[in-house]
Amino acid sequence: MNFADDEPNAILSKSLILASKTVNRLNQIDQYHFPTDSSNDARQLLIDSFIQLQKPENVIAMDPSVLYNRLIALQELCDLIVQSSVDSISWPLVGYCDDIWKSFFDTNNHKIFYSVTPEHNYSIFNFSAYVASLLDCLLSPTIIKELIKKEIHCLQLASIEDDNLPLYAIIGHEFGHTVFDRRKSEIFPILGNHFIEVINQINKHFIDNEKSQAERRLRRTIEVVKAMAEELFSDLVGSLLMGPAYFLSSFEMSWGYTGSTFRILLAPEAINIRAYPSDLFRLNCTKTWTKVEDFCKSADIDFNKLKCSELKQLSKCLSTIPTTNDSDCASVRPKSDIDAAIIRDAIELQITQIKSSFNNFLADAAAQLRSWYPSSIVSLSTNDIGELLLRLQHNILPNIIPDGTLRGKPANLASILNASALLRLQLLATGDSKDQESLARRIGRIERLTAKALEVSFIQDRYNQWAKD
Amino acid sequence: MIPSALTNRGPYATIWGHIKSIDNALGRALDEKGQDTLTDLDRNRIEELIVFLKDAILTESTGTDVKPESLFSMDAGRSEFSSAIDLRQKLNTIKIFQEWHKPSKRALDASIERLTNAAAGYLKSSEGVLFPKNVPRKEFSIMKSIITALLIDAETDLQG
Repeated sequence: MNFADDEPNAILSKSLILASKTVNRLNQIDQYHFPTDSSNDARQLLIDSFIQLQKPENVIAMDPSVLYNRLIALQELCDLIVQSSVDSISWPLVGYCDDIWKSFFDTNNHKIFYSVTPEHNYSIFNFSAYVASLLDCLLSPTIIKELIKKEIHCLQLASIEDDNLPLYAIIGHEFGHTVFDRRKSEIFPILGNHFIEVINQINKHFIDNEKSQAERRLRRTIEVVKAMAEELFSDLVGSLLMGPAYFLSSFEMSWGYTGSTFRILLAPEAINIRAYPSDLFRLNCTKTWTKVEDFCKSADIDFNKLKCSELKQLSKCLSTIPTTNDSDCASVRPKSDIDAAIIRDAIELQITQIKSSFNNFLADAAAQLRSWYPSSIVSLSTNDIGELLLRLQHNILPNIIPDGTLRGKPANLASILNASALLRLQLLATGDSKDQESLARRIGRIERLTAKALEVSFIQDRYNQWAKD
Repeated sequence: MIPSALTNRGPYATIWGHIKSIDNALGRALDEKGQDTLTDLDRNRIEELIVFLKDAILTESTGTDVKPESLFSMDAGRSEFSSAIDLRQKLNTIKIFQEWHKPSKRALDASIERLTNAAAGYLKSSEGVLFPKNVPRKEFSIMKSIITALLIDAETDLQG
């Protein structure tokens, strides 16, 4: 034994032990706790991957250090399967998500499963593509292709779900990421058309600075533009799915930021570049696509009819959210990246044109979305939302909209979320900080009523479908 | 905390894994560790190295003939990380590469083309052959010196 020569062998042994332990761990998960069947597909994909990683004929060409590093990364995915449990995820709630998913994708080849994130937030990612990327330097492309037979996505819900319900509208944005990913071949040409002028100007800036580096820098900048376009496109999907509740949720998510910075995080791989338009610009786009002005006008009339003084204020509060974005700037990190400063300068020089190009891109993208998914886009009624608000104010489940019959009609997800988000934000903004207990009680009541209404209306809707069949 | 490359999950872990696995495949092709078989994974890693070198040097232009609309296409068939590395500059600092390249008085592009052609030729001639014999040892050693230099940078980034 000579550790100078045997180090790779020691790392390999350590890796194979970890792989074996992980397969056992995955096999021990109780599948009856999964919120939907898709969690089992994700688990099986991981088990199959680990089995391939342990096969001697595959191990022979692997770099043991890379194998161990990737196994550590795969542990995070195993944790997601463990956390995919009805103990923390309510089935009726994710049932709504499943319905939206089905309206977008062929569910035989595109699955979604639900897990949690420790963050007070939501996120989605292509689970199977991420598994494939982790296997990339370890298994041949043929084996990876055999493993990934269908796409599996993972929607991570906030771990303290009940406290995060008013932000449920954000799920619309998360689905937007998947739509963007699936429709890239159609979306990128639209984006390219609107950005030709801007990109030519940025290219000129790079050439003037250092010709030999220009194309490389331009390629990275285009990845930045694509990343920002993905965020804005996802906002658009969120807006069309959830209406003003998405605008309110986006506003709440922007709290704490100065709001006027385009934030860009460069990375060695193009796929890992992250870029976010300024919050104020995003809110401005969202305000347009959730049709806030029309909503306020219509709500003013409908809420008035319901003769509730508090509702009158609510009809106007949406238009008070700040969206002016004239003083936007750009920040590019990490500072150590060789291109950070020059990309920041190029973006700041073109920031007005960039925003205008994005607005034009979104207009085309909205038209495309309506033609691709006509049945997914909701049309909200301010009268329905007013009725639900009235119920919420009187501590009654906001699950029914009166229609003259005894049972009424079940409220849909977007209407419940809009009513809940409006009332909750108004209470938070106007709450008396000296009477915290009473405020906490009211907010808590709204959150519980909302959660329950979502469950009840979902089950009622399922019952109606079953009764009809 | 003692930094560990093996457990690092930071933003540079992916590029480190790519470079390290290419380094491993070149080492195996050069038979450094006593292995003499070429697997599909080895071939895939060497192919990735060819794409990376081509993207970073051979297809790089001055930016004056770039068509922006083409850059928005789905997949330009480029290596994932070639845009983030200034390889032209890096090559100036790699002694083994310079000792091979400079006396030849070839342009840098021609030297890189020679390396990628040798690697592509090797892959082609070894198709279906379990124990390939015609390893272009000189070119693979030069490419290994490039990859080792990039690996050192990646390790530093990994810990940063």
